[in-house]
Amino acid sequence: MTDEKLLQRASRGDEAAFLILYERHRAPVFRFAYRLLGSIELAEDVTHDCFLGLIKRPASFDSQRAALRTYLYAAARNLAGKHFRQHANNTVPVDELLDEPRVPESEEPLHQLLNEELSAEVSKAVMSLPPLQREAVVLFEYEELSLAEIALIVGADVGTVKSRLYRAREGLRRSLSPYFKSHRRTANAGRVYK
Amino acid sequence: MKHERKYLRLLRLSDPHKTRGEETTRRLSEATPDRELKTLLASWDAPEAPRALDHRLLTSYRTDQQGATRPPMWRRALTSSVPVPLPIAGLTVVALVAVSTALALRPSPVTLESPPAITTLAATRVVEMPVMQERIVTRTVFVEKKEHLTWKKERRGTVVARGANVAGDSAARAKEQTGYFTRVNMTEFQPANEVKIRVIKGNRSDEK
Repeated sequence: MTDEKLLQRASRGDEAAFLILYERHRAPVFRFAYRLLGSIELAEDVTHDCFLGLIKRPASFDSQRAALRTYLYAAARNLAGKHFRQHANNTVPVDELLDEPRVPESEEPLHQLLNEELSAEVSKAVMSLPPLQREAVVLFEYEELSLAEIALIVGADVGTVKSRLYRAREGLRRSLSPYFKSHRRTANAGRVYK
Repeated sequence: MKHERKYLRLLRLSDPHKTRGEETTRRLSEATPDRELKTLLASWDAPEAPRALDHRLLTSYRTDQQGATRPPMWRRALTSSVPVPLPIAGLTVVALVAVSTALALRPSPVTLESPPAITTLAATRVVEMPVMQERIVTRTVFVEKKEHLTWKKERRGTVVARGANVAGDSAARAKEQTGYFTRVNMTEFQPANEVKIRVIKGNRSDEK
């Protein structure tokens, strides 16, 4: 059954239809919200409000315009944006992030850090990106959406999304440079010849 | 070309469920391949959505659906609204104002002031009215019978002699007219509607 039909039934009180719809889209929406906000609790709230908003206002979803998952991503993004605005003082300006490397220089980080620690560093690097760049990276790299889909979700044109994605990658490369093999090779070589 | 193939393989490895060749090719054309960055980013796994979220969302869904049930007809009739276009609403208001102004400026007809309504009720007073009772007057009339003329003649003389000063000429006149006379003055006598004749015998002296 299509998402549209399930949504129609769910909005009329069909609990089974709602559960199918929820199971179908729960994981990607939660994952996206988590990677945007960096908190399980906040991601839970966003996912909850996202689905409840869909049921309360089913007419706001237009199946001709986009797929339901795209709509849910956009709703989650808006809710996350609301959170960012409310906690605007806690966010780091874009310029500072680009100039300031997040990960300290270390000679052999991959040998010292466990996989969990690497994961933590990566998450820290992604979370340190400005929200617009972060959502572009998350949607493209993790959720594997196309640039056109991302553009639809964030309400910008494809060129803008591409630009954000490029800047985000640059920032990530800079932040995670100690963990790149090429960087390590260079560092090791430098140490040998010293 | 070799580099692209490597990147394609990496993408397949990162998500075994997404092996759609067309999509991957499209994504490859959109993004600059950066294998190392991709590998590093893949090391960050997002946690699974907690099961508490399922329960919480289901509860919210049920509550929302209960609240969304249609209210009764009478409540809908009382609380329903009709959307009116703004121009029509504006014209209606202007028309109402014009009509009310015209009615207010029109000379009002002369109206007589009505007397103030009596609000106080008259106090009820009980008045005892005299009840007119029929009074029966009993008079004793002595009729002299003609057949007893012999002894009556004798008695008449005494009676006339005795009541000469009482009845006088009127008694004599009455006797001439009616054939009998009374000792009392009956000039203004009104006979009763009902005559009760009571025969009094001579031997009963206590009879009244």
